[in-house]
Order: sequence, then structure tokens, then C-alpha cells
Amino acid sequence: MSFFNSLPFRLKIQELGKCSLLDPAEYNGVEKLKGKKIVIIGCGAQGLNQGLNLRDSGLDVSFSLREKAITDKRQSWKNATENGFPVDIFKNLIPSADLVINLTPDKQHSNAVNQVMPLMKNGACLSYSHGFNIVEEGLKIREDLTVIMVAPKSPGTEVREEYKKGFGVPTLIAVHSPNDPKGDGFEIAKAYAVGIGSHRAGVLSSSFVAEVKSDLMGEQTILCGMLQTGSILCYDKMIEKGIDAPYASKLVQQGWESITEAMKLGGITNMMDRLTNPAKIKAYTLAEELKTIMRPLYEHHMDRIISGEFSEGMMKDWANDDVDLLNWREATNDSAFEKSTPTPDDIDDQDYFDNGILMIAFLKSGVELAFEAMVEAGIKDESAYYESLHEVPLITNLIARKKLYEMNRVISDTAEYGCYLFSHKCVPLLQDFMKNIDADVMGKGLGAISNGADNQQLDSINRKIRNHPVEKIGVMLRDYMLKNRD
Amino acid sequence: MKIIVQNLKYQISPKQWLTIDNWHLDTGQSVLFVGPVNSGKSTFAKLLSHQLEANTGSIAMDHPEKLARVSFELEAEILAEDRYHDDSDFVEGGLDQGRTAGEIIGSETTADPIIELMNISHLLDRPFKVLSTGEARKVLIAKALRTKPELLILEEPFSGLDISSRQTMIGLFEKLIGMGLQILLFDYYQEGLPDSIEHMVFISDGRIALEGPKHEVVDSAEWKSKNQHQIQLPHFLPDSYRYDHLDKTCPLVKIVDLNVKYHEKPVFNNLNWTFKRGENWRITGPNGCGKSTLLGMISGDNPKAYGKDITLFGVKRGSGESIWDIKRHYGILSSSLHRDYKASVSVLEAVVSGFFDSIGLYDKPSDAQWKIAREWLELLGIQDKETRPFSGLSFGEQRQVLIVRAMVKLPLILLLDEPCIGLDNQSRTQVLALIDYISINSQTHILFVAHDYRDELTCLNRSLNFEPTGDCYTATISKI
Repeated sequence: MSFFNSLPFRLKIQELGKCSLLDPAEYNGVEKLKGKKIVIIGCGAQGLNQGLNLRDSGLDVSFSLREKAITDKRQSWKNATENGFPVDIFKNLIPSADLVINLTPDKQHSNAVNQVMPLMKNGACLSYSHGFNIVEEGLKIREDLTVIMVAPKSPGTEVREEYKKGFGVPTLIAVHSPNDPKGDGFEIAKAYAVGIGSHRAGVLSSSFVAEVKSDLMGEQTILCGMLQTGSILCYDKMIEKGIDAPYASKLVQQGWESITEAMKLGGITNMMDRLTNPAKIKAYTLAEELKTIMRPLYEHHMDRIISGEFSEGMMKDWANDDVDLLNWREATNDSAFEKSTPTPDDIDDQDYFDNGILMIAFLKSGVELAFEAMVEAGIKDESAYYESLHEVPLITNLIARKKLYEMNRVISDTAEYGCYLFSHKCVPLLQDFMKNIDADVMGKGLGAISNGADNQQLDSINRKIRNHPVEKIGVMLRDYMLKNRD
Repeated sequence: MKIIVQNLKYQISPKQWLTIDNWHLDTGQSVLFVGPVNSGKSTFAKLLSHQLEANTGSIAMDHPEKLARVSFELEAEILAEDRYHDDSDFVEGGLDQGRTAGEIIGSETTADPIIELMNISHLLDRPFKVLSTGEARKVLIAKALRTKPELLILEEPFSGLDISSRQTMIGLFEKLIGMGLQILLFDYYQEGLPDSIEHMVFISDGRIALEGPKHEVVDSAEWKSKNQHQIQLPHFLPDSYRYDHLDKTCPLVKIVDLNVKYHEKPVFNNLNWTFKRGENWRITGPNGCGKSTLLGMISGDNPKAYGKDITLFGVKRGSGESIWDIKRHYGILSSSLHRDYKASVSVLEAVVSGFFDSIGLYDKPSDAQWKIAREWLELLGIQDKETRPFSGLSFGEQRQVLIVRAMVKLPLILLLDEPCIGLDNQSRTQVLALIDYISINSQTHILFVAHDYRDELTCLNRSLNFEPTGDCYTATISKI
């Protein structure tokens, strides 16, 4: 049984509802980890870059790799040695480690942890960056070991870039309550977060359960599933309405990124404010319609994630050599959007907004629905913000560079599996809605002569946009991420 | 290629115009364009290469498609594209090397005559982003030559090149001109520009001020009056940090038996170096000898320093200190810092960030720090730019700001790696004089790298020079 399902109801709500921003006074530098042996397993982008930061913060860091990676001189071995880290196999490094940081890909967690755990010394600490293995797969960790999570909310390269600037990236930390024998898991997690520079951009104290459930929800709905659905529908609609195919292709592929750049800086409010008054009213109305149609689907996904049905289904496919996943992946390759070739001509940044009203409506409705579903399930606003709005630009950047097929290939397997589940339901669900869509909201723009609008209507819409809880928490968290910047 | 420019007007800024009433380029002719920063020189280069559109007037050329341009911006654009497409987060090992030089040029074969001419066949498989300044420059010129141009526009092609790369580059230009290629070379005036470009145009205040054979122009009274450098030095230096916590008898930097390799290939071996109080060092050596690596290793920027016998300010490297503990002793300017300085800050904020060794501003500066930063901007005469966004400045203007950023806290060591790249002759002379002044009038020690013969400092009293020995480099240390 999964860890979450083994909990009594009282603890389920407690764990789901854990998330608060740490106060600067709560940090004590990297003191707790000074002089301790830190061993990182996995030298991908997160491993390498977190390792560089921790060492630059004065900590003792080594990398432990599988024997094969070392003897074959794989890229991971090269990168660790080239950067001057001690590198050795598990059995030579793990026994002396005070903190073992597991940064292998999610799917290898069980395997890696099963190999490492017997080698760890009594009372050491094991750190995760994603709790799927613990919460969903239900792996039990030896009782004497402390288990923590430190999960930067940015890709590994950015974790390093921001550190080098003298800043950091927002990070979520947690302690796995059954594995905190000395009661100092939280202190270790905080010191680790400071070591990678996160205290400057905001550290959220959460739980394994809240992290996993909100992460799964965000990635399969608004992040990947909604963008996949929207890309396919918006492109097909423009072709149907006779819009130039290369233009349509670029408008969708690059449009998500341009539009969400505005969202990243100033939330949904700023994204909507980029539109003219008539276009904003239109986008708002479409988003409201979409929310009504899609709400049951978002709720369905949230419910299956909370109950554990989603993970069960996916792990069955893992056990079945990923048959479903790989078939769905190939099907993505067959969509008209995926096969399209974008125009080499520049599209003006503002055109992405003016001609992409429907895309904006998809983003607004998707972010709000995912946020609302999470919060209704007992997840805190802070977690829900990071797992919905905050991460959208990361995926839109992937689509801008790689379209859908490659985007799906590089995201985690859990995200990809969930993305297909969502998209396969959502595309048919929106069929009737799409029948009423014309090129004015997707491809051509409204072409309205006047920017005029009814004051009362505009004011009411503006207030509804700004007063949504995802906007309220967003303003607070973004201010924190860019603190002292007036 | 022939070019005829008539009644050209372009608005550079609200107050500044570039005006070229009438200018001709004859078939086969190569021209040198010189002039101070903000004179309109690079704007003209951009107009000629269709990067900008004139407000009025015309530029007529007989074969516009036969024109190619190489500039700093091109290198920056390529690096930005590589950054955008960086897949480090998705590849095994977490490091994406980006495109190779061969991919940038569009030629992966060593048999290509252009590759042979540029002598860069050994670079084709190397990632563009790890090339040295001189290597990258050659790759970009090769890329331009592959379009088979009649006319090549070059902007500051010698910046950051060591003496021998500079000679090679000049020899190459002479050769290309000999082969019939026309070159329009835009640079600050300096000795040793290619002899085969005899015709010179001096642009000043948005107009062609002088034009003619090079020697006639520089002999003219007008040239002399416009190229006199007035240097103003401060009466006092703004207040600074104290470094009283350090043991005064300890060397600032001590390196024992240092060997450095990149991908198994040795760069330099057996370096023993002590940097003591009272010393000011000049570091020299060809591009690729490991100078920047060495500087990165003592400034906390290069992770290769770990596991090596390096002691900084009395603390052994890798003994629990953080890079911020190290950086507080330095004021740093290098090409890599300039390249990495990507932050949405004003000029004044960029200067203040020097107090925190950060790129961008994340701490709350004190009133005193704001005040000191303003005083420094005044010293360089750029206080009027205080509120402008840093990213909107020209390359040379950004350099000036970053020089001030390095100096602002009067660091224990002012580490300047090719600081004057992109500066015009006036600000170059000013900056050099200021460095000497700082060295005499403060606790600051100087660590200086520059290839350009114009970059002379009187304060330097020690030299570390890298020379090739076998397949890597060895350092010689001497007193100046």
C-alpha cells in the first residue's frame, strides 16, 4: 500500500495541508552540514549543479556513481571528475556518508535506494528531490535513517546560474515524519537549502505527501496536458479557418512561451493586461466557458491522484514495459501540429497576444482550475501556486524549442503518462466548444476598431482576475523571489 | 563592390543623429573607420550591413548580397542561441556543450579551403562556447567568408587578442585583401592596424570629421585637437571596506605545484606562485594558456580549484570556506563576468552590486553604499547614465560600468582581465590612470591581464608570464 493510503484520515489532511514560507530568521546558514560528508548519487543536471553549489558554500561533496558509469567513463563520470569532485562506487563512499542525496531520475529511485540503503551508516540522512518513491510506491526506509526532501523549483542549470549571481531559486523542503529519529531532519533540510542558495529566493516548508500530490496534479493537467490539448486544438482550428499553416504553426509553438513570459512576471493579471479591452473581455468569457466544461476533468484527475489510482495505473504500465506510454508517445508524433513547419518570419511579441486569445483563455482557465482543484483537495495555496502557474513557463519553453513529442520525451515519465491521460480526455471533451470558435480569437485577432469597453463590465472582470486566490498568493511569492527590487 | 551613401540621416538617440551627406566606396577599396565611443561609428557599420534602417537618405550598393559582417554582437547572439537551446537539464551528465565550431561555420570538413586559410581545422569539433577569444573570432570570420562576400565589415576584430593572434589576424586580413576581398574595418585608432588599408575615415559626433590617407589624417591639426586625452583624477577616493580581519603577514595568494588539465589535456604544469602584500602583478601569455583559468581558481569562480594546494588570504581552498568568503576580497572584471552580467538593473544598481559581489542586486544597500557608487560614476564622468538600464548600454559603456563595479569597494585585490576591451582611447587612458591612482592611494593590490600594448600601468611590479613548453605552458615569474 502507498504511504499516503496507510495514513489515518487525520494525518492525511495534516500532511496535505502543510506548506509555509520560511522566515529569514529561521535559517542558520550551512552550520548543520559543516564538516559532514555529503554524497550525491546521480550526476545529471540537478546532481552536478546542486553539488557545485553545496561545495561552493563550503561543504564537503562527493559523487557516487554506478560502477558501469565509472568504468565506461560515461558523461556523468566525466562531468564530476572534470569539476574536481571525488567520484567512486556506492560501496566505497556511501558507508562514510552523513548525508546521501538521491538525484537519480524518478523511475530509478526504488532501485537506487534499495542499493544504497544497506550501505548507509547508522543514523545517516537520505535526501530526495521528489517523493513519489516514498509516497506512492510506499518504499520503507530503515528506521534509524532520517529522510528529507529538498526540491528546487527550477531546472538544474538555473539552480547553478542563480547561485553564481548571488541569488537562488525557490525550493521546497520536507521531512518524512516516520523517518526523523533524531528530530533534526528539518535542520538538515534547511542547511541544504541554504547551501544551494535557496534561502535568498524563498524556501517552503512542506510535506512529502503535499509535494507528490500537487506535483502530479500540476504536471498532468495545466503544465503538460493542457498545453498539449491546446496546441492540437488551436492549430487544427486555424488550418480549418484557412490561416496560413506555417504562421499557425509558429503562433502556437512560440506563442505559449511569449504569453507565459508575461505570466511569469506578473501572473494571469499581467497576461490579461497585455490584451486590448475587447480582447480581454473575450478571453475572460472564453476562459469562463472552458472552466465550466473542464472542471469535472480537473477534479477527476485530482481525485485519482489523491486516491492513488493514478499511480497504480501508471506503475502497471511500468511493469508492462511502458507499452501504453510508448504508443501514446508515437501517436503525438502523428498530430498535424507536430508535423507542421513554422514560418521563419518574425512574429511581433504583441501579435502572440492579440492573435492568440484562445490560447490565453486556455492558460487562464487551466491555471485556475488546477489551482482550485488542489486547494479543494486540501493543498495549501503556496504549493498549488508553485505546481501550477510557476512551472508553466518551463514547459512552454520546451514546446517553443521542441514541440510536443520531444517535450514529452524529456519531462519525467510520470508527467508524460499523466499528460496523455489528460489530453486524450480533454480533446474530445472540447469538441463542441471548438465548433463555435472562429479565427477572430485564434489566428487573426478581433480587428476591433475601437479599444472601447463598458466600464462596469471591464472593472468587474479586472477585479475578478486580480482577486483570484492564485493571483493573491502569486503577488506575495513573486515579491519574495525578487525581494528588495522596487 | 561599390557603395554610394547620400543624405543619410539616422537618429541614434533623442539628442543624437548620424549624418552622412555624401560618401563613396570604390570597387576594390578597403577602408578604416575610427572614432571615439558614441561617435556613430558602429551605427554606420550597422546601417551599411542592413541591420538598421536609415530615417532618410540612401545607401546604394551594387551587390548587397555580397556583404558580410563580423562583430561582438554576432558572438553574443550565437552564445545566446546556444543558451536557449541548451539541453543540459535533459542529457546524461547534465552538461550540454552546445554547437561545435564546425556547426557554427556550416562546414565540418577540414578540406574546405576557408578552413585551411584560417588555419582552424583543429577547432571544428570543439564546442564554440569553450573557444578562446582569438579562436572564436577566427571561426566567425570563417563563417562570414563561407558566404563568399566581396565586402567584409569587421568591428573591433583585435579586441582581446594576444600579440601573436593579433599578428596572425593582421596577416590574414592582408592576405584576404590581396585576394581581392574588400574590408571595412571599424575600430578605435591604434598603432599597428593593417598597412594594406590605407584609407581612413574619422567619425566624430555623428559626422565624418576627416577622411583621407591614414598618415595625412593623423598628422592633421584637427585630428590632434580631437584626440587629446584629458584625464581627471580624484582628489580623494570614496570610503571603502576594511580588511582588518586578515593576518597581515600572510600572502594574499599562495599556490603550490598546481597542474591544470581540461579533458585530460594539460594546460599548465607545476605553477608555484605567491602574491604578497605590496605587489601588483601583470599576467601575460598567449590566448588559451590558462590565464583565465588561473584567475578563476583564485577568485572562487573556477571549480577546478578544489583539491589543489591553493591558499587564499590565509585560508586553504576547500577547507569549509564559501566562494562568497573569497569574493569579498576581490573586485573583478573579466570578459566572462561581462558575458554573464545578465540582470535587469540600472547602471547605479550594477555598480552597487559590486559591494555584494552579485550579478544583479538582491541585498538592501546602505545609504553610504549608494553615495559611494555615485561618487565613482562621477569619477568616470558617467553619472548622467545612473538611471539607465544596464542592458541597454553599448558594449563599451557596459565595460566602463563594470570597471566601476569592480573598484567600488576598493577591494584588497582588483582583478582586471582585459578590462579595456571595447573602450575608446579616451576612456582607456582614463581607466588606466585611475588604476594606477588607486594602487598608490589605497590598500588595493592590482592583478592585471592585458594583451594590448596600449594598456601600460606604472604600478605593476611583478610579472607572471606563461610560455609554451612542449604540449602545454609553463609560467615564469619575475620582477618588473
